[in-house]
Amino acid sequence: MSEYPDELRICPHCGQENASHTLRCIRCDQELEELFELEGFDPTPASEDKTAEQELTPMAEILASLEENPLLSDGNQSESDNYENEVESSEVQSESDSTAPDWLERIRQRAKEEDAAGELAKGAIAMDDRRSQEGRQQVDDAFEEIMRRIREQNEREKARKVRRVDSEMVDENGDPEWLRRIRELHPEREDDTQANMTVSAVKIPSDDEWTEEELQELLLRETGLSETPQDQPEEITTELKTPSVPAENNQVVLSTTVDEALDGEPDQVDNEPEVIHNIPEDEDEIIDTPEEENLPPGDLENQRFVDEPLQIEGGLSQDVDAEPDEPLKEEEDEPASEDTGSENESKDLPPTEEPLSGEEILPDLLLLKNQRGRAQVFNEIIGQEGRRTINVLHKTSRQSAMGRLVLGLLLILGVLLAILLGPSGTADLPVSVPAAAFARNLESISSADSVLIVLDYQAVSRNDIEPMAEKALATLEEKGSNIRLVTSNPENIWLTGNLLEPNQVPDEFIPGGMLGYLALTVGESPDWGELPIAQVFNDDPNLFEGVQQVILISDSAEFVRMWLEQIGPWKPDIQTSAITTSISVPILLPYYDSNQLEGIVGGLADARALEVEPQKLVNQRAFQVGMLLMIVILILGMIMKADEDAQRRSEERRR
Amino acid sequence: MSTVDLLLLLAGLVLSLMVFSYLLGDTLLFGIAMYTLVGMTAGYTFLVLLQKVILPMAINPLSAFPQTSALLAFVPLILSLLLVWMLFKKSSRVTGIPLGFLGGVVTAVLIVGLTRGTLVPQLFSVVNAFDPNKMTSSGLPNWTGIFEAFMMLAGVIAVLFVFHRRKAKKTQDPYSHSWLDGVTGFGQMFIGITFGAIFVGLFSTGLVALIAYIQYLVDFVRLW
Repeated sequence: MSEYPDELRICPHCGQENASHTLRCIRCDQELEELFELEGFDPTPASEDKTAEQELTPMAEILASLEENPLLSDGNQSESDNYENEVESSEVQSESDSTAPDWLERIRQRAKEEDAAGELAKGAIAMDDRRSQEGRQQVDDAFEEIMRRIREQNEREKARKVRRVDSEMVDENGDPEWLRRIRELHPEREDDTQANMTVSAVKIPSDDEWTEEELQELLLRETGLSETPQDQPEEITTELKTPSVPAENNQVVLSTTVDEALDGEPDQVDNEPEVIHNIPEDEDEIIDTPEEENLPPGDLENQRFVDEPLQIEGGLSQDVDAEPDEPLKEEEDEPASEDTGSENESKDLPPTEEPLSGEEILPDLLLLKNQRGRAQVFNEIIGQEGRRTINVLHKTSRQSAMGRLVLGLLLILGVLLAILLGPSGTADLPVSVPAAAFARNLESISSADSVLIVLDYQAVSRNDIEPMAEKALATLEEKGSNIRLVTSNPENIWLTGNLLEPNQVPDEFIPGGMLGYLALTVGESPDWGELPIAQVFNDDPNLFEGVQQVILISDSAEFVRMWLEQIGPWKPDIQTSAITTSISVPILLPYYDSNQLEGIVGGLADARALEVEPQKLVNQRAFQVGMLLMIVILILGMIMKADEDAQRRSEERRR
Repeated sequence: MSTVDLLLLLAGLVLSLMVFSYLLGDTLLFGIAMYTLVGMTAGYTFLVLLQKVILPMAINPLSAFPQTSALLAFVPLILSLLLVWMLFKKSSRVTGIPLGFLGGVVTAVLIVGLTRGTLVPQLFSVVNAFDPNKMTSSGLPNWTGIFEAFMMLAGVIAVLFVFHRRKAKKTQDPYSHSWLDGVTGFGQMFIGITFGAIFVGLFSTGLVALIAYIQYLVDFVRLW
């Protein structure tokens, strides 16, 4: 992001204040300096990094020397095109691997041989003579402004760098998280991009240290001296940059890379010589277009960057004036632009496509529409990391835990008081139709009938089942019916001991659950022997031989239903009835209505149908107290819920 | 009361109190009681299966090896070994054989049983409710039978509508009709009544168990 988006530019030729986006001075029509800077430009090739690092000078010392150098007072005298061309040539030469060291050596040699009053000073004084005092003052002011910017940028960069290191989203190189992800996903394209940037001498510096070479170059520019390189580089790159938007070009480069990487399109840059610029081919059209002149600076820049595709060309456009101090500006601005660019992509992307004013459009937001959308998608994807994707279905709050405790204690207290105080009582409940049908069916069993009793209940429900099961077994024993007890639940082997006196265990344990019963139902003994399941029987393995009645004693409606589904259709002549719990009765009622069950008894309420003795049942009074408490709690809960809903609706209406 | 019975009563008292500690939350005492229950059940089940199933059905037949029954006993034995092998190597394809066999058999049995044992009989039950013999009594209309038959039919249709509309609501079907919403509400009433009856049964069963164990504690205290 540019730090001075709305700053006025002072024309070095006439001193006129111009808007930051203007390309030419409105008074003298001269091209403004610093206009065609291209951020990301690094005059030092990658191969010279090592050499340049060896010649690093502390920043403060160099800045102090720049300020103190009397030659700087003559800086910015680039009034003639020849001079600019020479400086540009020297800059381009500095990019060359072969000429830069010689150039530096010659600069140092001349600096040693000539003092401040030497040839350099003479040339500067001669040029000073040609300038008016007013122009010199303007140039001095401009240079002071440049130095001020440099200092401020360095301070900001240092502070920003500390923040970057602290942030998890930016690595030590200053690369944001999304950019690292893109590089991981598209390593080849990243390599291509890096190669392109290297070829085009665009470098994103990671530090704010200046090399001595760059400072010498700055010194030459500011003093107005140029040195023609001896060896012209084979490939000269001209980088253009609009003023006051130093980050845009980098932003566009990165965004374009992301876009291409996502699209999977072949990188056109690979096969073409590169020159990066964002200026249309005919720049006069843009500069002189009245419509664009009327636009605010932000809109104008936006218009340029959106309308003009990124162009990478080879060769040097010598007719384009390049500002000598471009590399300085690039190094100052690029880290900031990179940071702010990533931040804007992750945070400041406008959610709508409403037209923005010039002040609202920041330079780093100058993205194409699809690029903006993709950046937003990236932002959403990255933002989802570490978040819970599935909500917690049931989270027990402290209030509900307290409610559960109070409810439980209240219930226990009521039951305890009912047990301790007063007699047990008798529940005089009406007999249900299925229970009455069960009793009639039980009475209809004769002494000659064979009854198969299938056990499948747990210990926890024994108080709900065993009183009626005991009564039914006692009735059958009184009649002298042939009873056979089987189970597929190991728990019932010892639970059955409570049913009959003396303790009796089931005749057979049927392995495999319902599949075992099914095997015994449909299986036939083969001629060569017997089925493996027949090994579990001590006597006749034919479980249903001569059986007229089946009584299922189960606390599971599923077991009863499975029996009716799997066994019932194979043995339609066998009448089936069930002794179960209260919870299973409503589920099994449809099977009673369809005559698949002869009768059902379940729970304490149906005990009266079998005339179970009250002392074998649980305390009836406690049962009544417990049911009464639950009814009260349910009614209170319904009232509170209705009241809460009414309040919520009223609040919604109020809103 | 013998000492053994007294100790058993005491153990039952302690375990009951540990289970009741669940009122205070998922406490350590409740966890100990649950792990004790699970461990004892697993051990007991293993012994029962070893005595009633593994030895008589898988091991003993091997003694008559040349006979057909012994050869057939190898089939469940090999399948059982493959299931055990799955504990060590879950990704092996061989271990999928017994599971695939078991899953296929169970699925086929369930589908056939559900059709023959529930779907068809329940459908016939609804149709038979409109039997003229049931809707008349002594030559006069049996209004109770008629009302019951129509309510049964309306309940079936309305509940089916509830599930159909539930799917449509999930997909935010824009085509909504008031009469469909009315039928859906009618079906929800049936479902609510059913769930209410189940809840009463659930509470009744739980209350009986609670009363029984509180009675157990009270009887234990009354010993002194």
